[in-house]
Amino acid sequence: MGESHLYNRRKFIKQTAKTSAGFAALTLLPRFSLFAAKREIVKVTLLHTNDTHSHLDPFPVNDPKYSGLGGIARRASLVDKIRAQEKHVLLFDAGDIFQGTPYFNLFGGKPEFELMSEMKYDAATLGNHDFDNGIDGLVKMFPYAKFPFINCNYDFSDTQLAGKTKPYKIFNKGNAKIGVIGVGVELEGLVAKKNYGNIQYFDPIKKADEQAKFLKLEEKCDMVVCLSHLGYKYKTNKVSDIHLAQNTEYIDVIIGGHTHTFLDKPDIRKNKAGKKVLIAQVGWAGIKLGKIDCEIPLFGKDINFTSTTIKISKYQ
Amino acid sequence: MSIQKYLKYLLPALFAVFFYSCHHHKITTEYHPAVIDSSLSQNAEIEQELQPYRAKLNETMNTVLAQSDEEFVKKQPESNLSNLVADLTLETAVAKGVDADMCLLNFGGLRTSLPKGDITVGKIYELMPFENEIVAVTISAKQFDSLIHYVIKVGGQPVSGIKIIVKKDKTYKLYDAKGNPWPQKKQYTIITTDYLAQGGDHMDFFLYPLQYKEVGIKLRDAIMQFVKKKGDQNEHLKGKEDGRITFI
Repeated sequence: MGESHLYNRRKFIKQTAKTSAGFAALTLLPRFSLFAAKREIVKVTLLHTNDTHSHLDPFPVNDPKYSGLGGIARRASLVDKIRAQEKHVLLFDAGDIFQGTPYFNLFGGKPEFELMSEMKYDAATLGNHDFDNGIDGLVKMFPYAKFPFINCNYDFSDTQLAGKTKPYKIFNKGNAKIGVIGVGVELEGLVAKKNYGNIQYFDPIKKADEQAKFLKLEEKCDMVVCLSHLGYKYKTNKVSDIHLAQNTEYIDVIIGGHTHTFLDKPDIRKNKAGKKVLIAQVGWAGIKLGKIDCEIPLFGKDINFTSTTIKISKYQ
Repeated sequence: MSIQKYLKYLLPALFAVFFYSCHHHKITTEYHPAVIDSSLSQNAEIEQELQPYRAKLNETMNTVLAQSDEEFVKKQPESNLSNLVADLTLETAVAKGVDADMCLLNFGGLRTSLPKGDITVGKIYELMPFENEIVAVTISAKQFDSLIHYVIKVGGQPVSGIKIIVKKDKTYKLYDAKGNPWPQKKQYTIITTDYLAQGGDHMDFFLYPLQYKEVGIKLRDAIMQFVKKKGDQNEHLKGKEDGRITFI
């Protein structure tokens, strides 16, 4: 935003307001508190992984595609380094923590959850493979996860998972309130019925926007982040992160997974209200760590006008 | 001064603040995906916590299940490896009470060869890294014809319980495992994996089954159990090529 544009805009507003009756402006008064407005900007760094698939060790050097990449101990070093540099950091995972190396077959997900807890993950959502040992297998591992699992489009009430997940979580970072929600992919046809049992799946777009609207309007969150295991995009009309971005109104950032897509730059889509939504995903197996730096202005919390502008630059 | 006079100045000011606020209530984001590579050090605590799991894992993976008398290799139309895996898959399903006519797997799904000598748990993971479940799919006689044409067209796939003899003019004869003529039925039950039953590797003939049933065991676990049993009984793995798919 250039200063001259700003000046012109002010001048224009001044002129039009002076000459118009301006009565309509009175109706806007209750919408925000003029004197409570603070010109504060809070910087929050979102770190994210998805589809780590039990890849605790780096790929072997003889791997044809990912020679020597990944490894949870190195990921932890990078997270520590960023935490030392940034004041407000949130670390998320978008699901499919389980399955993919013999670590999972042998230990059922225990080291994955323990080490992610040690790294102080703030939240994760559930992927289809997290049900690979059935609901029982997942519930057994929950005590090792010191971070919440967030999902709003699965109904777990008739399963052992009832009450063990959260539909949303709010993180206070400085004076900024970050609302986090989560959505999962349709399990039918993807996960054996015996493994997902009585989990009921609901339309993720409807559920996510309901939850995001609640967080923005009722809880006055400054930003809503959705952890999604829907998948980035499909050739078919299967619901994807792109659909989620375009057909909702209150989500600012989508941290995706499932399709193992390496997005080297975020995909930016316009939502229902014409505002920009950022979609990010970092492939799989812990080969990459996503880092989204958000500068969130807090000009009076009652105003619900948010949009995203995105700059892209390389890490370091 | 009248209230109108105040309003004259107040309203434009309110307008300006309102528009200014709307205009600037933006979240600015920057995106930096970072590659996790050897330039990063290992976090000592994480590494220390992972170590006992890794040691246990390596110990398990290095566990020898059985001895093999020969190298088991992949080749088409059939090979000792394809036959071994297809036969044990059919046996496993039948042992679990499934009434099946034959087994069909895919050549591409067998990811490595098995060496002569020690067969370790790790080798079985390399051979079958996928989490595919064994399933029983019942298909119509018409779809069964498509299945046979597919196996011939692709130059052979791992099969069990059937013998396919293909002549140069592309006509073929089918026999059962005992060498009797293949029974003519209205429908056939095929043992395969969930991946293939969902049309994987272009097996479209599985897409509209008359019946679909999970056998209740993963293919890798079935292989593991079979090889372990051989080892436990002090038997060596022996392969065979018996001409079950022959192009003459």
